[in-house]
Amino acid sequence: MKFEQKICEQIPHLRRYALSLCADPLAAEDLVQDCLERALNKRHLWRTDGVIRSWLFRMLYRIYLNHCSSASARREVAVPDAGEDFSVEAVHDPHLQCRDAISAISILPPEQRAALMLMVLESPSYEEAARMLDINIGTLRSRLSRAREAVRSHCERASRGEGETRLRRVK
Amino acid sequence: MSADDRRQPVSDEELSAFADGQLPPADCARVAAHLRANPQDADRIHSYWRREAELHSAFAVAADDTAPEPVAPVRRPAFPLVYAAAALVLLAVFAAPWLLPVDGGGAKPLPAHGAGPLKQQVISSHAGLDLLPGAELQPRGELLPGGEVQPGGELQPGKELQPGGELQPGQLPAVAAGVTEYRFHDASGTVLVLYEGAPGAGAYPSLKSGAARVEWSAGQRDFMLEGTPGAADLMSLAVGLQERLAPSPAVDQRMGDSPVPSPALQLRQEEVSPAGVSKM
Repeated sequence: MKFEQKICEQIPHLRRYALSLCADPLAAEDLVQDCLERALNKRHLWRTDGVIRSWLFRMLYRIYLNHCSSASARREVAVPDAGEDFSVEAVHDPHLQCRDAISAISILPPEQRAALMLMVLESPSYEEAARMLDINIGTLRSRLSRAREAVRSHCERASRGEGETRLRRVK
Repeated sequence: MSADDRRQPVSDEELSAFADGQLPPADCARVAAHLRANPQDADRIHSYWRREAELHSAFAVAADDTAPEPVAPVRRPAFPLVYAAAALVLLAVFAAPWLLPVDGGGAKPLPAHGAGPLKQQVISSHAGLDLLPGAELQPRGELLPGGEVQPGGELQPGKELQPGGELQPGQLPAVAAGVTEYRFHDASGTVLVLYEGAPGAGAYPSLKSGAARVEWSAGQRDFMLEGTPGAADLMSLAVGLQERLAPSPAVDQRMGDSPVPSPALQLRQEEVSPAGVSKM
């Protein structure tokens, strides 16, 4: 199979992962396009015996981190209404059920979010996931654990209706 | 595993790795023993799985909704009909010069093999143009008597050519000299435009502000694909077109000309591109 065909096969996966990272469909589309453009330009760096999925996802993740860092350096909010695009009509029960989880991942740090969504969407082995994110396996395990706990606690608070901050008597 | 091993505390990271099925067998047995003794931790893992299943389904649906068309669905064609039609028409047009005998003469029409009906069908269905008897595929990819398409010509839906008739110059939008425009559109509003020209032929007109573009060079010709589909799909289509339009080595040898550059994607030139323009 040709290099270009292999890349095309990964586009739906890249798009799904980018959407989970960016929340905004337009930003996700730009992210995938940047990734594909860089992959085509850097094709000479791809080892033919390697797994192209790891190579592409690592590329997309790096571009995503670059976007995040440049946005924060400019003190801009890249996605002012992150998560709002997923609000749907009340008739869609499955969407409503997962709304808490989606809002939970939107508050995660980018690194934790990327690690969690990579496992959720692609289910790679820890070794491959660590390669994609360019970190060691211990760091990956730590990020996944913290991300999961954050999502769980956020969803539990949301289900109890504790979304807003309340004053607590300390003395 | 000894009883002491079973009493070792289980960390959150180990629980998370257990949920992923990524623990070594020995640790897996230890965590399983811990979960039997601590059902609240088992509930935690179940909560992880439930939330992640929700996330998985949500983003799978969201990605399908935002994608203009699935690029590689499992049991559907790789591209919608208009993409396939565009690819086939362009393949027929661009392959014509290489398929002709060297001494065949540039003005001699191709015999009506399979390409004629195919092209007729595609143009009829997507440009609203009825290709009338007598129209033949010329070596340079033009349709002559019966329905003439000039470089830069745009086939409007519903526009019908009469036998022997020609499109008036005023009906055709101006495109830079040496640039050929191929335009495809379907009933759903999807529009694709491919420009082909010599290197440095000039700036190509824009379909609309903000539309995605992909540019590449092959065989000493410049190509620019623009359309309303998403940028990723446009690039995917461009990759397919670029592969199909690349002449085969056997044809190059028969032509006896200088070898055509490799069909591999390559940068046309290093320059700053405007936003939304990709180069391969």
